[in-house]
Amino acid sequence: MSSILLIPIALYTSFVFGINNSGLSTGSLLASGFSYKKGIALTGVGFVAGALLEGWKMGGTFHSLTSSSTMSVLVVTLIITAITFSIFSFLGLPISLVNVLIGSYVGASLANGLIINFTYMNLLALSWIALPFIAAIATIGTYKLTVRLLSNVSPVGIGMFHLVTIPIIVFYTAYSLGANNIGLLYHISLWEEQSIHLLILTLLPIASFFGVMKSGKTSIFVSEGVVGHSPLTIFSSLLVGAILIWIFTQAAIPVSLAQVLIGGLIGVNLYRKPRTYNRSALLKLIGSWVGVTLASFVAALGLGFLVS
Amino acid sequence: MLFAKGKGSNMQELLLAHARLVIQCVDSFNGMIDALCMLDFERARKFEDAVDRYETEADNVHKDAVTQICKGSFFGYMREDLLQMMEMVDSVADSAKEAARSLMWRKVPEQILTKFLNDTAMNYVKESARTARALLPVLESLSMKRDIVIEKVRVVEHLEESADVLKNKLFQELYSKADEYDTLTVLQLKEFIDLTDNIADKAEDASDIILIMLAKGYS
Repeated sequence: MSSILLIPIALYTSFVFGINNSGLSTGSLLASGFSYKKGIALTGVGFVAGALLEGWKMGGTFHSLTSSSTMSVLVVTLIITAITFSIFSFLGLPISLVNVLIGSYVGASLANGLIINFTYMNLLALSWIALPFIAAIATIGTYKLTVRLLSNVSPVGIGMFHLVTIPIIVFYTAYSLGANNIGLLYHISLWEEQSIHLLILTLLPIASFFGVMKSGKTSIFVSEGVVGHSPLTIFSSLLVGAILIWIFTQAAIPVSLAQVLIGGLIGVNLYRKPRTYNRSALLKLIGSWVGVTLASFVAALGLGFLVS
Repeated sequence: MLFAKGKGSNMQELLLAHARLVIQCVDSFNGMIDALCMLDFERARKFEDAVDRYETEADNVHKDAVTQICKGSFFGYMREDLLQMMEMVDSVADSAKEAARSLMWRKVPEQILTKFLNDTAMNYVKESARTARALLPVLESLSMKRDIVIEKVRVVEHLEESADVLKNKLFQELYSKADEYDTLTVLQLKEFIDLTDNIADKAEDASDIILIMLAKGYS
C-alpha cells in the first residue's frame, strides 16, 4: 500500500499540531506585549522554515525504534495522534507531539508484533525526563547572566532589547520546533516513499501554519495561565528551549517544546522572588504530558490489535 | 547609549512632550497664584487661561500617545504601567486646572486673600510645582542607567514630602484663623489646598509607576 494514503491524516495532524503547539511561542510573544498577529506570522514562518531546512534530520528516529514498519502501524499512529491533538486543542492545553507520536507508534508496533529497540526507547524516555530539568538549570543560568548584562542598560535600552530579541527568539523557537516535531511527523508520513518528499515537506508546515492561526486558546493558556512571566524569563526560557531542541534535532532525537519551555519557566520562577504559579494549571499540564503518552500508547495498542 | 535611538527615543520624546506641557500648565498655575498674591486679577486671569490652554494641549498629546502605545510593541510588557503613568502625569495638569478654578470661580475677598496667601501658602504652591517639575528629569533619565532613574524618583518623593509638610502647616493656619473668614471662603480655600496637594501627589504617583516599570524590566 502506498504511503500516499497517510498524507491526508498527516496533514490534518500537522494542522492540529499548529493549533496546539504554536501557542507555546505565540503565547510567549503575547505575554511580552506583542500583538497576536505578529506572533502568528513569526511562528508560522518559523515552522515552515524549520521543517523545510532541517526537518530531514529527524529521519533516523522511527528507523531507530523499529527496523521496519507496516502501513497499519503508521495509519494507527497518525490516527491516534490526530484524535489526541484534536481533543487537547479543543481544551486549549498544549501537549507534546513527540510523546503522542512515539507513544502511539510503540503501541501500534507492539500490536503488530514488531520488535522495538528498547535501548533507543529508553534513551528517548530518559531525554524526556531529563530535559525539563536541564532546561530549568540552563534557563536559570541564562536568566542570571541576562539580568547581570542588562543591569547597566537604560530602561529605554531594556525596552529596545526586548523589542528586538523576543521576536527573533520566538522565530528561532518555532524554527527549531518545525525542524524537530514537523520533521518527525514528515518521516512517519513518508516511511519509504521518495517521489513526493519535497511536496510533503512543504505541505506539512503549511498545514501547521493554518493551525497556528487558530491557536488562540493555547496561546492564552501559556501567556496567562501557567506561571508569572516577565520579558526576561520568557527570553531566557525560549532561548534555552530553542537551543536545546535545535541541538537534539541534529542528533535526530525528538523533543517536546512544551516540556522544555515549561521546565525552564518553572526553574526560573523557583529562582525568582516572589514565586508566582498557577498550581492547578501546572498540575493539569504535567499530568497531561504523562497521561497523554500512556493514553496514546494504550489506544494505539488497542486499535493496532483491532486493525491487525 | 545602547539601543537609545529609534523607537525607544521616540517613545521617550512622546512622554517628555506630554510632561513639558503639563509642567507649563503647572508653571502657569504658579504664576496665577503670584499674580493673585499681588492682587493683580487681570494677570491672574491671563495665567488661568494659560493653565486651561496647556491642560487641553497636554490632553491632546496624551490621547495621541495612548493610541501609539496601544498600537506599538515597545514596552509592550508594561503597556498598562506606561498608560497609567501617563494618566498620572496628565492628572497633574488636571489638578492644576482645578486648583486654579477653585480660586478664580468665586472671588475671594482681597483682605482674606492677602492674609491667606502668606509665605506658607506661596511656598506650598511653589513646592508642589517643583515636585511636578521634578518629573521631567525622571523621564529624561529613562535613557540613562537605572540608578540615575531611581535617584531622580527619590527627588520627586522628597519634594512631595516637603509639600505635604507645608500643606499641613497651611491647614493649621487656615483652621486657626477660621473665625476671621466666612464659612464659604474656608471651604473654598480648603478645596484649593486639597487640589494643589493633588499636583504633588499625582507627580509622585507617576514616579512610583516608573519604579514598578524598572522592577518589571530588570527582573
